[in-house]
Amino acid sequence: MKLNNVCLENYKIFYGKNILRFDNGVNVIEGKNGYGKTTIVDSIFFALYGKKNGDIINNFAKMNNERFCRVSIDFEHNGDKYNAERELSDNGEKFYLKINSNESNISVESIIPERAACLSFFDGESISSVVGYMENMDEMLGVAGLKAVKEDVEKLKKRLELTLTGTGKIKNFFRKMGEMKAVKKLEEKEKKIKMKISHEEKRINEIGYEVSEFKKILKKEKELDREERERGKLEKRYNELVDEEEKFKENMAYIILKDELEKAVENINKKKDEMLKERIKQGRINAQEELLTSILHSGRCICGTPVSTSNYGKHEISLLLENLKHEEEKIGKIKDFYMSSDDLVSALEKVKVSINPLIIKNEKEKIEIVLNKKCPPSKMDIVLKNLNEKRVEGKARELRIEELRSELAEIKDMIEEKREKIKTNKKWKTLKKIKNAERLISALDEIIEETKRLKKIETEKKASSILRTVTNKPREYRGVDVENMNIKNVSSELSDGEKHVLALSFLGGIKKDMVVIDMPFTRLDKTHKRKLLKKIPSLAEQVVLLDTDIDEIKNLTENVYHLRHDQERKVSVIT
Amino acid sequence: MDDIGKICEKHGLDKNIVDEIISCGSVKEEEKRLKKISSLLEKL
Repeated sequence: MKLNNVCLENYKIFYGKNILRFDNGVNVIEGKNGYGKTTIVDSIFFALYGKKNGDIINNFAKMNNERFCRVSIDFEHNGDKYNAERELSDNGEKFYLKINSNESNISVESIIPERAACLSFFDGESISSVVGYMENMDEMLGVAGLKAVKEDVEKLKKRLELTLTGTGKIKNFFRKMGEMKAVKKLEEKEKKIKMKISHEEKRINEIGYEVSEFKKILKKEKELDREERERGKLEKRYNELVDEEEKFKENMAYIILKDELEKAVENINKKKDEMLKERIKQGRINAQEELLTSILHSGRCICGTPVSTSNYGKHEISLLLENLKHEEEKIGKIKDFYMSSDDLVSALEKVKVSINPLIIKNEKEKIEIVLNKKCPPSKMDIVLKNLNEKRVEGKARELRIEELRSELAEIKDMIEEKREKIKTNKKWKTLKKIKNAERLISALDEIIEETKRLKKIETEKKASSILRTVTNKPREYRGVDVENMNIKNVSSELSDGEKHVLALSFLGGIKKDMVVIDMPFTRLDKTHKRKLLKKIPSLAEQVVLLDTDIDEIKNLTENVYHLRHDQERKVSVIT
Repeated sequence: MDDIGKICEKHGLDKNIVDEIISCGSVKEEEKRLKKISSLLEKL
């Protein structure tokens, strides 16, 4: 807690509005005895807790028909800003509280208990009384908050227990706890199986992707395979064409021969005609010659039955042969001429009908283009093997998932069964909370003790340091014993002055947010006072000193207030 | 782990929730405070 403003209006000796503004660091209020120093401290407790001693409305105000008094305080606590205002009049007492500018109807006691606030206000006359026994040590050591939480938990536990009837429920609770543990174990198992299934499913997805990729490859390989087969067919066809071409080349002679023979026959006929015409002219023509002519004209004499001398005259034959010989020199293939007529005719017909050299050539060229193209060998077998392996793995994993799912279903049933058992007790949650509250209370006991221990060590260290600096017996007084609120290893009784020094050292060790000390140096000798003055700013973040003589302490700060008294009106004012 | 953490572990309590319960001390209204502590006890 830290004070910001205190406004007193018609409170006890103070008439009218009197305002005090406090800063961090040291604040001083100077006033002679009876001028109202202690009244200021009283007014704070009146505003916060409604504490009042006797008649608190200023007499002069009453005389002026102002029959009320009011104290308003602005303060900070745990990061919140508060304004507490209390008014007393003939109409009774009124109290207002604002927290961070919002009106609230809760009491200050629930925010800062009075016993805790008291630890920030000391009277120099009685401060030494803390030695030997420190009331509310827990508040001082900062564990009061923890103790309050523990009390809350205990209260809550009792309330929860009241909602249950009979001790059988408590016994049942422990049985349920066992079942809960079993459920937890099953849940862990369930989690593991789910993870396994998820892993298998992930792998199956991967396999699915790999299979689809293999299928794409397989499609390509199939095309390659088809191409290979096509090429085989083309190669076969090509070979056939080569054979046909060879055959054609052989038969080419007949074609040429036929053409040439026709020409030869034509020439012979021509010559024969000329000879006939000559012979007719000369009157030498006969029947044999006519026959020969007709044969010659038919052209079959060449490819038919070999010309016989029996039917034709020697002269005509030799003439014909001579002509043929002449033709033979041109065509150079006359030997075929002596083949049987049937063979030759059929050969000629065949060549003429089925063999077209241009068609062969074109087809051959087309096939050559295809066959000359580069075509990689098909790897379909390998791809098929990989694909099958993947499919087998996928199937195995699917089976594994089925197994796991069946196991999972069993576990789920078991969990459901156990949960159903637990749910049958509607007060399960209450029981669980009670058990947890028990554990928490035990833990809080230990936490409080541990916090106390640590805070004691810290406080003793700081307080001892101050004591050693300010005491007149630095060799004798080694340190402060916080537990017993005394000086360590000192058997002799301390004087009031020494107790005063010890108490202030302890305050410095605790270092609260605020400390208000009325007459801080009472009973202290000059040496102690001089040494303590230096330590005053370190006693708390905000120190308020009230004293009759401030010659020495006024140098600690500029925030100094003076109390003045009007003897006639019997009122004090703050300046 | 600090000493308070060790104490919580010893009692099988979640330190974060214990801290939350301790911080409930700053809740000014008692019923609100108890309600909050009660809900935290369930989680503990």
